[in-house]
Amino acid sequence: MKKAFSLLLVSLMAFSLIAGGSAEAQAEGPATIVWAGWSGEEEASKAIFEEMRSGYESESGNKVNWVGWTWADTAQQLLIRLQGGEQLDIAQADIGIFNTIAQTGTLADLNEIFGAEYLASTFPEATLEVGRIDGKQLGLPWSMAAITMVYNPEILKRAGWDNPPATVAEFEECMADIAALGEGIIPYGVSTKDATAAGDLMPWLWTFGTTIFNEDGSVNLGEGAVETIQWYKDLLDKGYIQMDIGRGDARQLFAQGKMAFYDDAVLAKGQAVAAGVDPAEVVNVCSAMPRPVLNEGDDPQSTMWGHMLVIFDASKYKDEAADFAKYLVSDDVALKYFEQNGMPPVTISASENEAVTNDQYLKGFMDSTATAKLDETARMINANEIKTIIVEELQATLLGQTTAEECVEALRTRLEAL
Amino acid sequence: MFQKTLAFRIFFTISAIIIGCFVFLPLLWLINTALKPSSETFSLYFFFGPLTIENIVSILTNGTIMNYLKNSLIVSFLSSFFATLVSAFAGYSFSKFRYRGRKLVMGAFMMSQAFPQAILLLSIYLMMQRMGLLGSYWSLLISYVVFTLPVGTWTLKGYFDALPDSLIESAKIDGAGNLKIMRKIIFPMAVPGMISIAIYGFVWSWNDLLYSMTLVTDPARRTLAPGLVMTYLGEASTNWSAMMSASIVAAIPVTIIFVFLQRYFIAGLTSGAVKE
Repeated sequence: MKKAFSLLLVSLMAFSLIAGGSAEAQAEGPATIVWAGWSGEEEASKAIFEEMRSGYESESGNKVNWVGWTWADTAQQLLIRLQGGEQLDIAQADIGIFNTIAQTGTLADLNEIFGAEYLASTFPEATLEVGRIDGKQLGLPWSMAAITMVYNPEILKRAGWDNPPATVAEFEECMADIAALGEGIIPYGVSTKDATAAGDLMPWLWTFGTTIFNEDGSVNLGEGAVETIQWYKDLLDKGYIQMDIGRGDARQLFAQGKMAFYDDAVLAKGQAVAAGVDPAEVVNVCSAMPRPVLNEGDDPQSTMWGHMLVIFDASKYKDEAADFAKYLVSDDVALKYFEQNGMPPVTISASENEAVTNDQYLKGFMDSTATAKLDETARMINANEIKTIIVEELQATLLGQTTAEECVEALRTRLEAL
Repeated sequence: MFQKTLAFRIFFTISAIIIGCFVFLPLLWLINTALKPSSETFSLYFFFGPLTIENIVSILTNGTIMNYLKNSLIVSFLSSFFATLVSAFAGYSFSKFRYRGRKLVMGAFMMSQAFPQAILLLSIYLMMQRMGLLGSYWSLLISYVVFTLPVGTWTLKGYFDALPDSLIESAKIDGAGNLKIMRKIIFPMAVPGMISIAIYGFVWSWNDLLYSMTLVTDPARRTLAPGLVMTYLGEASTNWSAMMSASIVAAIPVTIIFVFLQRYFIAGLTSGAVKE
């Protein structure tokens, strides 16, 4: 018995050396800041994030501890850490999760930290607006552009189109020509599943002259809504779009030359490069274009996409976090981030840099950014629920279970009930 | 009689094929994708097309992934060991001792299974934080033992129930204490049941993503499931071929363990199913 007990004790002690020893005590230094997000975990951006971190450390003498998760889990993990009162000083926040984090009331007003003058003189007002809620500047723009339509110029050329279509009617003609090629290419990879389907639907609703919500938050879904849903259904019936396509699927298929159009942000380039396209040649197979308009002269519609930096109000190192944020958006660092990962800089000075203005790939996205709007649910606390409802009703129509009119009516009823 | 009819055989064969398709096709598809070059991930061919082992080789030679694998093995083996040990003691206690509150605790064990583990995450996170265990293997170990305990305890209780009390009484007459009885008589007879719980605990911790991602954020101590997801599932792109290859590599230890111990696992799960 003694022998067995001793064995158990030894096992426990041995494990303590591994596990207990690994329970690293949090560094106590006065300027050890915790930076959270997701890009520092991803293969494509791990190196540049490490460079940013170490560059700031050697420049400032402060220490930066990175804590990362997947992009999809970051909001949830940030909330858990905030609930637990764990140290969090600065975080990367996607536009999609920004509101969720802001609603916790844990973000610092950057006007107070940076000063309104610095913000106004450094960033374009449109990008600041994205990170502003109820007059408080809760997000610092870091990298922003529009989610617009992306097309493959080589496929379009084969279908007889030297330029991308400018109107919805032309777009339909172009898709018909692509389908007629008989190469098995999906003409348009609009999202028909997951939350990205709701995101893709919104700019089309705007194109057809309606919105989901009015400015006061009440449900709108005007006449254009039925027209938009019916248009989707027609595209599906003609084989121009497909069911069960999400943003990730579209990216992969597009990068492999199996899709002619889809909606995406500047990140589209990364997938094309990963599929073997020379970064310098990306524009030949992956170019941004303004979304076709219903009538000539209309504004092309797109949604805003981007990453922001947020600083937590409870942080003991707000000044250091702000200093680090300034370092991250500084021209040298932002331009390096742009060169290595294609992330568009947002400061006035960096975005005027020749490397940025001469970048043909980025140009298409930046052109669309001028008229880009925030996703209609971006400021709503139940955004996920709303998007789920939109996707469920849209899919029911696409599957032939309801008509476009029934879809819009069901959407109205369900959204009003929230 | 019915089993020998042609109708039964047709029904049985069709059912087996359908069930087999549901069970094996996803696995075959996983292997198929792992063996495709990245550029062919979305090509619709099933083994008859360009294949490569490059993805699997790159996983096996990737030091970071191998470190995740090592961490997963440490955590899974230890949590499996502790879960089995605690479940065995608890199961024996519920089975062979009568004391006030026993049924209540047994019910509480069972009830705890009714709550989705995701809901408990926040409270476990806070507990680990207060105990200073965040970021350590202990946080994962304790969580996994806690989640394995209800099933483990109830399964082993059933096992111990089947052992005659006279056996224990005889040992007591011979002067053996409770610990000696458990170590020398009860546990050896409950080996199949304990192995089945060990496998259950191992698989549970091996597959966990949520808790390991939340409780351990240091890449050096990260386990395989979050490691793979973080490495290959990005905001902009997903490397499906590498992900599938890594999943095959990740499945190897569980498969080996299951293959060697499956007879104990099945014996452990079915014990007490037939009353004699």
